[in-house]
Amino acid sequence: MEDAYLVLSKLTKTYPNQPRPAVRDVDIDVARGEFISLLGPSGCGKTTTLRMIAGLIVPTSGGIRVGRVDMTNRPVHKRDMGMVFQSYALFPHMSVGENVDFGLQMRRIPKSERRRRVAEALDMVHLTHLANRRVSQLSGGQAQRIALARALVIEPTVLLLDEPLSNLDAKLREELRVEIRRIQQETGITTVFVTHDQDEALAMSDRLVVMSEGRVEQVGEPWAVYETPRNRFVADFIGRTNLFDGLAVGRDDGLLRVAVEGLGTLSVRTPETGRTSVTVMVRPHRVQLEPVEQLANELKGRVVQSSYLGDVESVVVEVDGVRITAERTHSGRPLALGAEVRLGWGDTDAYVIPQ
Amino acid sequence: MDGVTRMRTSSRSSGGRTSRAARAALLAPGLVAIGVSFLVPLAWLARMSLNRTVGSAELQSAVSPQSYVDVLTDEFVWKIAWQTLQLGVLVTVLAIAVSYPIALFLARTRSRLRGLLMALAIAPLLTSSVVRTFGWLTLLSDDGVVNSVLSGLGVTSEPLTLTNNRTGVVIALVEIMMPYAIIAMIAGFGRVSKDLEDAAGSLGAGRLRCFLRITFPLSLPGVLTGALMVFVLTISAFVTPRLMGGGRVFVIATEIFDQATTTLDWPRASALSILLLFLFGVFLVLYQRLFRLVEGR
Amino acid sequence: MKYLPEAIYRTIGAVVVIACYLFLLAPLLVVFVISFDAGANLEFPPKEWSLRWYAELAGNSEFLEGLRVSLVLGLVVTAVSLIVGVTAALALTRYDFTGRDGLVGLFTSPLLLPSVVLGLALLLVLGPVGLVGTYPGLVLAHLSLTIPYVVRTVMMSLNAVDASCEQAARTLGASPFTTFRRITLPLITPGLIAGGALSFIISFDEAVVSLFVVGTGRTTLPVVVFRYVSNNTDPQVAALSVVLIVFSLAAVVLIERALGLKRVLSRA
Repeated sequence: MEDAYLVLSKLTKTYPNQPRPAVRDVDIDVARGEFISLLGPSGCGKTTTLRMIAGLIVPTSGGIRVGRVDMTNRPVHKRDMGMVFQSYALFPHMSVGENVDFGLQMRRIPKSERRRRVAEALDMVHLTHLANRRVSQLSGGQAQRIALARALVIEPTVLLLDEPLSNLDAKLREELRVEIRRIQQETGITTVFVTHDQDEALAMSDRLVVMSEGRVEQVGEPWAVYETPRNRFVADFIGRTNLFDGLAVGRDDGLLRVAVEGLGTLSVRTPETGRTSVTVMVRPHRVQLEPVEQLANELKGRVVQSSYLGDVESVVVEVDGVRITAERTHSGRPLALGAEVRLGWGDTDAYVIPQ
Repeated sequence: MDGVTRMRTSSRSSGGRTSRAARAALLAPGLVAIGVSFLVPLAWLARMSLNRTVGSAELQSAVSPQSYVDVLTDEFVWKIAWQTLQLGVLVTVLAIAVSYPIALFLARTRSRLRGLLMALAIAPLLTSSVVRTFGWLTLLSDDGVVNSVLSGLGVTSEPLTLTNNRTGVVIALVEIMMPYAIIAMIAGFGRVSKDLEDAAGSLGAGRLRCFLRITFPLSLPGVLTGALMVFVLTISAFVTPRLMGGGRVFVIATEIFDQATTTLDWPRASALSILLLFLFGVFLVLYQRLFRLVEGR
Repeated sequence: MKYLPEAIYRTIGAVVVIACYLFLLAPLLVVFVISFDAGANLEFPPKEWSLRWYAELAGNSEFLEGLRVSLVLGLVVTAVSLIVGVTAALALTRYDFTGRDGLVGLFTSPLLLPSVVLGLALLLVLGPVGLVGTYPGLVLAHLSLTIPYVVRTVMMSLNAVDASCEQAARTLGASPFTTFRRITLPLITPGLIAGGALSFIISFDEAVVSLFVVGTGRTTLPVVVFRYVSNNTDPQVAALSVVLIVFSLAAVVLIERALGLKRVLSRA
């Protein structure tokens, strides 16, 4: 990346008595003002990576750079990074205002300026009226907004968010998602966001970093990671998916023919891969039930499972021993178990996973 | 499992040269203090027990088992060791018996006064055992409270001898050990719940059977822990046996004190101390075996 | 078959519990009543009431000297134990290293040692270096009794502090020391109060170890009382005991308010 601002190079953390590194050779470039999410299952090393950026964990090897400054061996309190914790980590013995003021006090900023900046920060999160409250009197959503204000008031070089929404209920979570994104865009602050919630990551980020077992699996814009996962892990982890392993048996006119046991031969529009053993991915919402038009891939099966979710109905159809998940919108009455259905998808609805 | 270890490591620092130096600096004062006030004296005591006393009270540096041989072949030592153990067993049984109702009550009550009653049961722990023993002296002496009440009611014509003998020592020790027993038992009573008793009751068990079959077995681990605590504290108690016994009741602790401060036979006092520690160890192991047995059911 | 009504069981239970409580508190109650007895013989209940013995206490130089020594000793021991306890507890809770559990055991192990053995051991060490009956000697002797409790209490409070609060302070620009002063210290204050009160009262009430190491020098109040009670009993000791109980009570209230008595005192 040409104007990388936060650069992690070959970042590695190994703990004694643990067979595999918690984080291994992580290379990530974050542009100035970019919102990037580290996403992965628990234990994938995303939080360890974030804590290494903050300086809370000392890397075993590799480097961290912000702008032209090497941060690798700089102590936490000299890094100028704002961090928001999962547990909010508000100081329980201080008022809301004092919490926000703390970072400014550490920077020995004159009192009048501090007062102005605390007011601005509280205004940014729309909680000016809570300045004198005790921390214990705040709701979860308020506490997290204050934590955000406290991290931003010091005008940090980078904002680090460690699963900030996971202790909130679903509705509040969505509300704060929008608010965090708004504030991030208004302030233009470079942000690294750690989450295990893929919806959050997809909705908020400029780019995603998918991690597993301490390594980066894929980096890219949300749509690209979702539509064109680089490997089976990413395809499986991001969104719901159908994966079919098969053999490439022929190709003509940009169309790859893949023989899959139970499903016959599928057609996928894809560039040349040069491999014979391939995995085909079809997202459930691309699978049409009782299609009205002619599709490149059409099958017949029986409904074995149906979950009605309100806005969509998730249906599992068994075709010759292979289970295929489809999503039906505007469903009305759910499909009956055991019903015979036709299903299918076009040649551009499927995707061949490169690895 | 993996996640847990990582959480632990992430909230604590590990490794790094500066953090190791900081850690050492933080530990230094504590280690010095514990070393000087505890480890060194203990080592010194062990060493002293191998020295010899010649003549009346002349200390001779040596590495000899003489003081142990002397102690172990002395009939008087065997007698007081036996008496100490007897005292320990008696006090333990009685202290558990009178503490059990309080502990059970505190573990189960939902009263608003629970906090206060809890404090009332434990607080005596923080009053000097000298003061509490003095209280028992005034209660139990020949012209003390108990005897004046008894003779006032015409129950006794002669005052009962309740001090300067083992009876007084036992009574006072039982009371002094109660808070320890109560704390240990409440902690162990976690599994005893009113719900279980209610369940047993609904199955047709009577009150007594309910207690014997449900409550009591479940409370055994707590009882055992309390018993061990009372026992080891009793066999090493000094203030109460000395004051209540009026110099007529001998236990290992009083013997150690006399040897150390009156006879000035330090090797012998040290050997007796090591003997007491050995007894401690034996009962600790015994307790662990028993505890596993009781827990394992 | 007859069934006793529920109320009778409840009454029996209540009577038993109250009786056990009475037995537990009897010596303290009696001491309290006797201290207001106007007569010189221990009589119960007293025929006449007065504050005479409290007045006599004020004129008893032996008691006053003992009180002074015990107060000075208690305060010094508490101050040292707090410093030592806080630093050790910090190292034991904020750093992860091999041998950590062993060190926790070492710091709490004096709790397992009988006081007579500890007293003798201290006498053997303090004797040759001439520290018997001196303030430094007594402070050292009492430290092994108070440090385990202070380390435990402070560790308890440190473990209750959300580590991410300290980390948040660091990311906001606070140095490790500033973080300790501004965040950690205020948050563990209840633990320090409880630990301090406990340490003071343990030192203030300690009799056995002191009996070994006072020699013919500075004598603490419990030792004075012990020696006095060995020879005679009169209401003056009762009055003195009440003074001691008041100190204990103050400690109890402080500890209960700060952390809770039961949590702090259970040894397991």
